[in-house]
Amino acid sequence: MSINCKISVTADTAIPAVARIIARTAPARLANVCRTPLVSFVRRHLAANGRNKRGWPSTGFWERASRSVQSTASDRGVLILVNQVGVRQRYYGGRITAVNRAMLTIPISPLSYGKTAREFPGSFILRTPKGAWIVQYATKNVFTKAQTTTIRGGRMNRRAVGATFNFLFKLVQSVDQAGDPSVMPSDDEMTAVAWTAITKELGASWEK
Amino acid sequence: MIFSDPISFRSAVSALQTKGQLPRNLSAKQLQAIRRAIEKNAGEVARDKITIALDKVKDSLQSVLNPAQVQREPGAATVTEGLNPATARVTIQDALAKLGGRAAEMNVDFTVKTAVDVAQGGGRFLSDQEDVDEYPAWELSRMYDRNVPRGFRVGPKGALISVPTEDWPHRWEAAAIAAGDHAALRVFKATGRMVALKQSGIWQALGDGAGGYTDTLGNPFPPFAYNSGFDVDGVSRSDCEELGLLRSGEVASRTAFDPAKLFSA
Repeated sequence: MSINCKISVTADTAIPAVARIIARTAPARLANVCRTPLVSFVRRHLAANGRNKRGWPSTGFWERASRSVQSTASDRGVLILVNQVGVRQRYYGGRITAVNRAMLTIPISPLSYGKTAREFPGSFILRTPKGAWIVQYATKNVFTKAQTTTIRGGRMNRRAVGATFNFLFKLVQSVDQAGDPSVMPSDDEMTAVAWTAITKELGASWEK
Repeated sequence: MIFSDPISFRSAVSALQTKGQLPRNLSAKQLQAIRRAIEKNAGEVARDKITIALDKVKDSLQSVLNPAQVQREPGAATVTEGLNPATARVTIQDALAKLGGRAAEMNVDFTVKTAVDVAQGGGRFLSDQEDVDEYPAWELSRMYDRNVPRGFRVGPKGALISVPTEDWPHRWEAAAIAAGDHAALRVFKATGRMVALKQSGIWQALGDGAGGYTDTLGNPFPPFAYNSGFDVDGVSRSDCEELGLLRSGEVASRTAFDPAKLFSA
């Protein structure tokens, strides 16, 4: 015995629904889904890097880095760019050498932190056997008598020198900075954020 | 010949004639022609000076916003080169000092920071218009710490004293009322969250200082006010539907804005 069976489709709701889900999982769209939460995550991570370890008045470096974040989404993925001088140096570390000047000026005082030497009128270079500094005459001196006796017994009176000058910058030819990958979120953290966004989006799509 | 103070054209001509550097028998017409030439040249020199100073300001800001990628040695990785706020400050001060006068006394640092923040905020505002379907709304919240947050002032011995009417929740409420965004106001009163659709007029109202605030920057994107530590994060469509800002299937729109007025600080 043979049975002929004819199936006619009176209403196809499966294929359009599947097509909708496929469209929502297109790479370009998923990149769009991931971009905004990834940008927020990176910006807040940068902002949370906090102030300088010495507790000096903040230059706002990490806030500026956070504000500099740019992004694009395409079918190739999400590109997040931290468009700020210095961030890559902090991430990878390395040697910093003077480019347009003979020496680097390293701020060694909360007065000079975040400033250039030119912003201190009257400052000058003080050379000692231990190195060279950019200093400025201090306006307030605790040891007024010591000002006149900077050399005592043939040796430098360090207390007097310290009281006489504000030491602003140390002059060096180069510095070596250790890298710190924690200044940016890790790949695992970024993946988790992207995955959460995608599953939330696909979950919502499926319910529709 | 050096003049320490500005002098009149007539006096200058007379001085030059005395020195034998200008003929004595110039007609009125010829003197007029010389005067027009000097004025034109002075105007061009002044304009050139101002243009040079403004170009320096513009270049300095560009260097902070978009540092260059430079390859210092063949085959080596590129390094990022550009000004930081300290060196930008000095460069701009030098440029303005050449103009002299009060221009050199401007608070350059504050101006640089605000201009850069607004430019970067504007860039994010534009790119956030591309994912309105997925993230139809923004939520305003604190992103950067401040020693003295808005809504506080420094009192005796450095204590922070609350000034509630200045804080962002008050500003939000005023902006929601001014913009007529009842949905955002309802969400705020129910949850305390400052969430509104990107298409809402509340964002421009915040930037305009709705409620009488005079420290705002006039833009529909953060920073809304000088030295603000508040910024926005995108809010997903599903969250918007849950909050009642959008109905299921409702199409969200981009923010309406005037490109000519976008970057103001």
